[in-house]
Amino acid sequence: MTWPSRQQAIAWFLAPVLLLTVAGVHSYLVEAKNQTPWEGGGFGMFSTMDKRQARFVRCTLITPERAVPVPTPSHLDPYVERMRARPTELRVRRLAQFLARADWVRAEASAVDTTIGAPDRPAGLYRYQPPYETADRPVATVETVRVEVWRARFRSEPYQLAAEPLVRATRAPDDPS
Amino acid sequence: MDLFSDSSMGAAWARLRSDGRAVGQWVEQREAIELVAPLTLILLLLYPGVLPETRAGLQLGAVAGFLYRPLRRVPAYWWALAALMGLYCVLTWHDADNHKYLITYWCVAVGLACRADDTEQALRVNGRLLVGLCFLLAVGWKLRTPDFLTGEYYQHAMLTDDRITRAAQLLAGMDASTFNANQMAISNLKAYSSALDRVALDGPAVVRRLSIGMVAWTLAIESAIIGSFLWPGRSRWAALGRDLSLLTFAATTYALANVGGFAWILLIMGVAQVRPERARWRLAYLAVLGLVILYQIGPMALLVSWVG
Repeated sequence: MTWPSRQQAIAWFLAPVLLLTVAGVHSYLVEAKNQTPWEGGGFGMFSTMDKRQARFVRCTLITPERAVPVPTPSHLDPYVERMRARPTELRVRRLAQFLARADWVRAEASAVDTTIGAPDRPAGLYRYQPPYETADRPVATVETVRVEVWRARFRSEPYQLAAEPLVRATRAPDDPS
Repeated sequence: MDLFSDSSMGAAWARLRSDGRAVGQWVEQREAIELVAPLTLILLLLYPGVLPETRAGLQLGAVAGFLYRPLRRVPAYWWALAALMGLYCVLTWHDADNHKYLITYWCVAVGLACRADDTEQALRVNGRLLVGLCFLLAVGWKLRTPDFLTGEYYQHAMLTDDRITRAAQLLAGMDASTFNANQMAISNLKAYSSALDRVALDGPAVVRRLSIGMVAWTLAIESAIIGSFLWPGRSRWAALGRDLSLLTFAATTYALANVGGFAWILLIMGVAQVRPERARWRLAYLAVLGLVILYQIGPMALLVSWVG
């Protein structure tokens, strides 16, 4: 057997080396930054249920009266998707900071309470108001905002999904960036 | 004239066999690049990803390669396609399937092979290494993930993943309403307004036993692929092992898991690694590719609905 020439070696091994390099970076990100094994080119798909779709985000406004769950504004969807795939503390803190400084106004009276599992935490009470919009509805007094990324874990006996927290951050409106 | 008489049926069958033999000979006599390039372009046309910016470029590039055949031998052409697919992977890293990365590496490899003194050999080496390494990594993840080894991953997938659930519907008799109820439970857990920390899922108990069988089969077939593709020997038996393991994997896995793009790229690389003296095996790869297409467009879905 003869060693390949330099040109042969490039033609034979460059693509496989590229594959191993990306997989190595992905493996580091999974270990160090909570990235899912599914996403990122490491070929961890179909090995675990811990994929982006099994992770979810819960945001809570803490007002003087109560804690109110709120949805993330839709224009942040791409950010939230990346946060689910790799929920670094920095990403979660930035989202909490943004939500704490945003305006939250009382939703229409007709808004439906969609709270699941805890009737004392009224959902749908406040909605995000973008800067270009003005409303004469009452504005929420936000003390802090809590953002949590959770992941669902499967249990076999009996079949069930249990949520476990991955990363959590709490920020007040006047916290430094 | 009676279309269904013995003589006309016999003539039609003879013509079909003769046409089939001619196609078989054509496939066997081609250089690997002549088969691999158009198959890769079809793959890019069918699975360019969801990002509009790169999608348009990849599809236009693939069409250009069909219209102007000499392009398929130009390294820069393949690297441009690799760059577009690579850009897709970078921009949608949180969403891009792993086979998109594999397609990127494959386009890099085809471009390098077009530039090499021996294009066929470069394609063969890349086909073997890329398939072998991707399965090596996949099995590595499976071995280091406890929920795979206990079977919990497959149980969860059969109960809730729309790409795998037809395995549970076919083999465990789970009905579609159970799957829908599980989806609803997941929605309740994940809702922004949810305070739940657990939800119950429903499904037949036999899914647990089935999952253990699936774990054993997956590890066995994927290990066989790793061993045969990364084994440096050139013996007939090693080549037979490569072809049988990859074809068996594709024919069985994609009957249950609806991930067509992955099947395509693996089978294209399978075609590329076949040595000229075993060119007949290319037909087997193309046949299994046809089977995967059938899986995707209907018969399996019909079977599930019939069994259901």
